[in-house]
Amino acid sequence: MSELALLVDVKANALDDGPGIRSVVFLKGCPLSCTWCHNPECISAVPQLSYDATLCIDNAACRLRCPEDALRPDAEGRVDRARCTACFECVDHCPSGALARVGHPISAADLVAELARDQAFFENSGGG
Amino acid sequence: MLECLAGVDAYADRLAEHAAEQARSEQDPARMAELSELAGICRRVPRHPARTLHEALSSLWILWVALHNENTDTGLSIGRLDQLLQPYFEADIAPLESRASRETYIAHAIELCGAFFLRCADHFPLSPDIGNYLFGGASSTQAVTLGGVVPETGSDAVNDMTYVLLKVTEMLSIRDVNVNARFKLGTSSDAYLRRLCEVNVVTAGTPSMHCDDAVFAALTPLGYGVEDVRDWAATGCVEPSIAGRHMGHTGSILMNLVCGLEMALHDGWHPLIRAQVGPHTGAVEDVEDFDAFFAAYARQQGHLIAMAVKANNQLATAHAEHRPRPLLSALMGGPLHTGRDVTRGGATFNSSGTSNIGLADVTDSLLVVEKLVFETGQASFAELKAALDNDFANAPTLAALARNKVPLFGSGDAHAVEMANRVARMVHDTYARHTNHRGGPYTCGFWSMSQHVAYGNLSGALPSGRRAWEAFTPGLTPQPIASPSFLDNIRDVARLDPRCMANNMAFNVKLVPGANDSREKTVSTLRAYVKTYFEQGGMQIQFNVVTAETLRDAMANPDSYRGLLVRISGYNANFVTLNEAIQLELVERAEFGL
Repeated sequence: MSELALLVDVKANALDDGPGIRSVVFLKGCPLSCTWCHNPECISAVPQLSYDATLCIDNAACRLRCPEDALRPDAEGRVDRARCTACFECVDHCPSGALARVGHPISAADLVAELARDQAFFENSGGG
Repeated sequence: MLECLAGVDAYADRLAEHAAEQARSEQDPARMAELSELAGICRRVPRHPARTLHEALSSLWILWVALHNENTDTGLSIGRLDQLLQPYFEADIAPLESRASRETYIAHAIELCGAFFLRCADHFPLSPDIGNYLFGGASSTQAVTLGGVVPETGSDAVNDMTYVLLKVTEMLSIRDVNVNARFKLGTSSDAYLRRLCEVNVVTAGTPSMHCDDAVFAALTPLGYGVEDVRDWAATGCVEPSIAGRHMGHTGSILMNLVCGLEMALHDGWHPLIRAQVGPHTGAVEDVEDFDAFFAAYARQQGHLIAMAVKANNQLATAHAEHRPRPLLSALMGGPLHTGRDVTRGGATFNSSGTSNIGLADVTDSLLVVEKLVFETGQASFAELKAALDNDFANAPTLAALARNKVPLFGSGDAHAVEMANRVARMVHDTYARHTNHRGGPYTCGFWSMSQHVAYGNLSGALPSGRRAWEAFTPGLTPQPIASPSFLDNIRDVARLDPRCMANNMAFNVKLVPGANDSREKTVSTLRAYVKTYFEQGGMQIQFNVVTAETLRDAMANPDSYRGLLVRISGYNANFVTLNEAIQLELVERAEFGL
């Protein structure tokens, strides 16, 4: 079985990371912890639960679904990290996308297949 | 017809007399020479064939004034201007041998064409308030078409005058004429495409760009010959007509596609009109599966289309009876052979083009119904309908699900593109069942001028999560939330079936160059987008190269932005002259960094 990486995001149509139109792949697991890091969600090497308060519509579905009772409106960042086991049950039931899973296992072959969707843009712009 | 032509000659004679009179009393010898030359030109054209570029442009302008005395000041279009003028440019420049004399002549040609464009921009349709509301800021919208291929051979038609007219477009940045540029894959040069993109970056929004391959695929099923299809030119905004011999009536019906959807949700009742407008197709609670709901939508929309066609045919019959167009008939291919006025089907080709507004909104709404009601069961149809009737006031979860958990048109999802094509095919097939009063077909387009704002203001909340009375997306442009990547939008729009879109489309994109990007980099990126879009099957694309911040500043300080050009959906306008609803719609359009 091939090894899997933890994919955070593919930022397509990136124009500032080299010539042409490029796709930037964000993976989890970084040995550094720079104070100026723009993507701290990528540092940890395990899947994590993220919460974006600006998207939250305060729907109770997440709380009702959490088997550990880790989602609490009074907790900082809504998630009681001591309780959360990162099962991501809540993410499936969050309608707004406020709760999200950071880090999805993906094989190199699958990742290349996803990136290849933009192959024509790479070739026409000298990117990659 | 003869009386009209005699009238044109009389008008030209009067212009000649007036110029000669002015010349006689002119003190400045240079101006006197100009006026004398003008008098000579007006004595010659349009009565006799033009011999020089100056005569050709003067002939065009005199006829253009005459045509606007006969015809409505909306969408009358000039055709393939670079192809028309190139022989005169060649005749003028042939005797010039030195490089300096040729360069001087080219500058003169640019000046003459600039004067012609400015003349074309000097008239503006008088609209009542409701007209300005529906067609906000729309000028006369005289389409000029550049580039493409030679009808007889299919070889590259880009010529000197293409570049002269692009230079004029770039220098003037005016809203009218409405410049459309044709690009043929494998035939048009890369330098030409790069130049089109450069002019777009400089002017912030013109010319709109078309791919011949997709337009040919759209027009060929209508039965036009190969050489006719190769000779297409835009009418009004973007609509392809066969240049000079096609009565296209390309804005004959401006159809709200959301209206049928609202009626399908309410058993034929229209919630704003509060009347049973359409047939009874059943309550949504009783709909068994998605296909049954799609059929109900098709029936309601088909009912609206049939009513619009009937009204349009009645209007056209009255038009032919009371307002024949002898001068237009004299200048168009067909009537001289058929002996019939263009309003009675005398032109070589006859069709009526329609514009269908809200394709992306309807597609996304159908995707949400299919997924949430019939696949996951996260909402019953009754719950969804109740949420819509209350503008999602008590159903934030449903609104969030619709906006976040359903792959929309423009997201890169293959099924969403299939749904868009299914709707487009249904609309196309519905029009195809009808014939216009000139015996021609109704064709189908997906651009919106500014009706996406006006019709949005008449439409309640949609399953897509769009709130009541908000604008639809312009043309068939995907919703801003469909994807963070513009490349997904490009790929999805490129996969729409051109055979359902013979009256073209408007794919609007707002691009924002980075603060530190060179013009060369911006142009190169734009070129890569357009090239890939065309290669993947795209038909038309138009840009606004401007930030929302700039537009907001222009709303607050209009005096500082008098010349700011924006592209609405098919036509250009000066941003500061638009009504507030349309200004806000432009500000809120999806914005992609360059």
